Amino acid sequence: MNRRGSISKWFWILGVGSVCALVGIPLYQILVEVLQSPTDGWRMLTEKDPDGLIGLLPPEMQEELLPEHTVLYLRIKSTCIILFSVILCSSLLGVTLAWLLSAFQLRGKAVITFLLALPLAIPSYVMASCYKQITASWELSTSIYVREQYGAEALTQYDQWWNYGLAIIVLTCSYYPYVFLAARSAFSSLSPEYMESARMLGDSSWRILRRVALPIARPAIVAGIMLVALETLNEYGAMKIIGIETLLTEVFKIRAGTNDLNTAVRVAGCIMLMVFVLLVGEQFLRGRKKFHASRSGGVAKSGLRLSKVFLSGIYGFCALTLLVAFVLPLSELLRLASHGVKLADMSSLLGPVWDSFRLAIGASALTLVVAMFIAYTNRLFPKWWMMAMSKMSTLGYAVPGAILGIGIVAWNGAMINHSSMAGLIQWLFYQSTVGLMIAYGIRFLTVSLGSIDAGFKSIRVSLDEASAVLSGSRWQTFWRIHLPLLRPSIFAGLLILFVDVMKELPMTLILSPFNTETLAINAYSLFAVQEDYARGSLPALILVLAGIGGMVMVRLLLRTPKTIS
Amino acid sequence: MIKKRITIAAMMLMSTGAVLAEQVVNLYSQRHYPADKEVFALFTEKTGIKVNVVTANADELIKRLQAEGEKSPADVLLTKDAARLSWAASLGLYQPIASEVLEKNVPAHLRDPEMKWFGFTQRARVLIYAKDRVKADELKTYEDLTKPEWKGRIVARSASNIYNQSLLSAIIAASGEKEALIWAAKVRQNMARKPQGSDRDQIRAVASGLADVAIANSYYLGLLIHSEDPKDRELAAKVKIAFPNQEGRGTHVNISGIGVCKHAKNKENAIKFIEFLSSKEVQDLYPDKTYEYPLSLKMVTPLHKSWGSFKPDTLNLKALGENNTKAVKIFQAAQWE
Repeated sequence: MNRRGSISKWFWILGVGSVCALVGIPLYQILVEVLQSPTDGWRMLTEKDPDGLIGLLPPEMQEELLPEHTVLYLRIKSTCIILFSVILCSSLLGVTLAWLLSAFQLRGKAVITFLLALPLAIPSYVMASCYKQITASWELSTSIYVREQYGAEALTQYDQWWNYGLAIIVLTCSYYPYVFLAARSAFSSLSPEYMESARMLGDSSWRILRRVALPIARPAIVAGIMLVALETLNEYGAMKIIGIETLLTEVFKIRAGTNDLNTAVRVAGCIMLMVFVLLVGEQFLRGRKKFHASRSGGVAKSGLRLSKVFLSGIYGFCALTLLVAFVLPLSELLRLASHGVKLADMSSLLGPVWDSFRLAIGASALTLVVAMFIAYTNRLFPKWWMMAMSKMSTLGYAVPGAILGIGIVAWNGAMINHSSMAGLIQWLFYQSTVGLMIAYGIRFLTVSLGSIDAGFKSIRVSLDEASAVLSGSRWQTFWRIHLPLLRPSIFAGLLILFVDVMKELPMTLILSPFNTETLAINAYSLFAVQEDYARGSLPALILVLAGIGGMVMVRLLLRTPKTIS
Repeated sequence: MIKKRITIAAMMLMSTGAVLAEQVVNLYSQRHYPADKEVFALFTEKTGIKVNVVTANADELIKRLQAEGEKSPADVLLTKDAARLSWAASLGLYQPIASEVLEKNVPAHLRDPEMKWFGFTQRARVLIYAKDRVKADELKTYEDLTKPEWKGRIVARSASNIYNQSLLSAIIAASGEKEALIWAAKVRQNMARKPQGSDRDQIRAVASGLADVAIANSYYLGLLIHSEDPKDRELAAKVKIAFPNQEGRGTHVNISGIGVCKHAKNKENAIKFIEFLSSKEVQDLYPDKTYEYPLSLKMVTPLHKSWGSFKPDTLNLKALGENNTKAVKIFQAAQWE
């Protein structure tokens, strides 16, 4: 390779390397914590009677109280039940919806796609509160019925299954759009020729999905599923509201009781381990298969024609999904707001609206640029070490937000006390919100990288080669070939980023400078802290509307036609 | 290169808070109540001192203070539970202050013996029971809840909740570790369902007939009674409040409290601020807005008058911090999730 080429090579690699370092710093702080010897809290999790407390009791009580399993075992079990159910439900729902919208001739596909992504705008803890409110009286009256008919034991079982069921429904509603959007953008970039050839070979649409569409869309779908998995593992608010103990709720319980960061971090380590297993498992299953799909126009016109009955079935299914995942919780918010809204509250929300918007816009733009950079470098150097580096840069998402926030705080603390960078850190994190945006970037990089990486993967390398042969520079290739082809992926990535940042809570809480209050903080404090649902419904509603507004904006922005010459 | 880019992006996007030579007090607060904002505005109006706030969970704020050390911008740390105050003090995050005003306004059991933190509102952990199914004299003490006749009739929230931890810490202080464990185990066995949800959910369970008595903080009932949502008011109409242990040690109370940070840069302002919170003006305002009790327990609102006066447990609240870890362990042993 010539000299110029090698300099530019180092530019790309060092760029990605420094992103990795930025992500690595807080993770390193966390690792340092794990390497300390285990503390009291860890014993509480892994031993059945850690302090011999049960031994203090009269013998008949001892027998009743000695637990069958350790707390850690129980929490891993409940976490797995929720995790796999939510993954299963949201992949089935997301992929089915995406396929129905891609494979058949329907009117208003674009609108339906947009509508089905709307649940993303509702933070999961708001969704959980709404469903709790909607189902509360029903739950209580059925519980009383169960107790009267079948006794107190049955009630315990019923109560548990109810909570699990509710949690799975709430989280599926909150997270299926990740899979749906990913699958939709992948299916829509499928060339109609593939489908036509498969159809001419006599394949049914089910077989086409299984044999052609799914393998090609797989990287994107898997990226979507990974987001669902990570969000579910890091779900705190909704679990707490619904009443399910998971690994993460245990992290908070231990910290609250024992100031035991070490154990909290260890439990977070268990969560990361599960993430790791999922990641490696996926890589292993995918093997070395590679699929490229070339996109050509006219996809919208493609698709099978359907009978009226079948067509209304599809519309009905989409409508039902929208009803459960969006309309019901939103109408509950509206009902609450209709009681609680006061003009005085409205004006006090202007600050949070502004803070939320500028943070979300700034952070999404920053993160998207970094994600494009990494994904592009990945394409330039498709080597294992590059893969590893880009995977590493997304690790921020695998750590619970609160723990990551603490990692960053610990780093900042060390910097402002003992380094020459004190001024910079002070400015970033105390005098401006830039630090917070970088922190969002560290956390949410994977959200956009997944979809953009998948987008790049579905562009044939032969296109780059063709462009190079036609003496197009890299920049030209990127600007005139990749960017237009990537538009659906950028749309999906930016959209998810924007609403994710809007909804983000734990890191915003711990890292925000003085007097920065986002809508999410405002809604959370009224909903979850004060349990003042009537007043909390207003910021929650604005949060949802702002999310929708942001989604509309992104949608419009990306729709402006760009000619591909 | 990257630094430069960040700077440019920052200049384009940011509206940095201008650092003016104005009088400020920098507050790290665990409380997210809208009423607090009114109180802060009132303070600024009176003194010209601006109140800058970061709100987050107590554990995170404490961690942040620890990490920031000497360079921390925080002047005061405010939490809504005594265990956290006591804990922050034991980590050396507070400094003792001398203030006659606070000595006078804050009862001795509601402040740190070394004058490092001070309560400014009180909440009672009470029993809320179904009007039609429970008679007031059946529920005299927290300990009554362990009796077999309450089997399947109690609801409470989870052990991770700090108010429950503090209640149990108070029981440990009163009767010792073993009795506290027996209490927790028996109450757990008498519960109608696994601990879950918020205090509000417990009250709802009682109102709907799933259970007959709930352990909850007093102000939650106030929130329901004054809620804009008619559903909430219906719930509140079906229940009554009982203050346990009136003939013994008194009802367990907890505080929202505040102290001056060790490395406070605006110490004078911080003291002024804390004194202001203990002043009559603010003390009269909170019960009306958040339904908490004032430091004096004087019944200033019709709501609190309707509940009647009560005798509080006067255990120094520092004990809640000292017993907190023990309480968490006892809850686990009692299988109170």
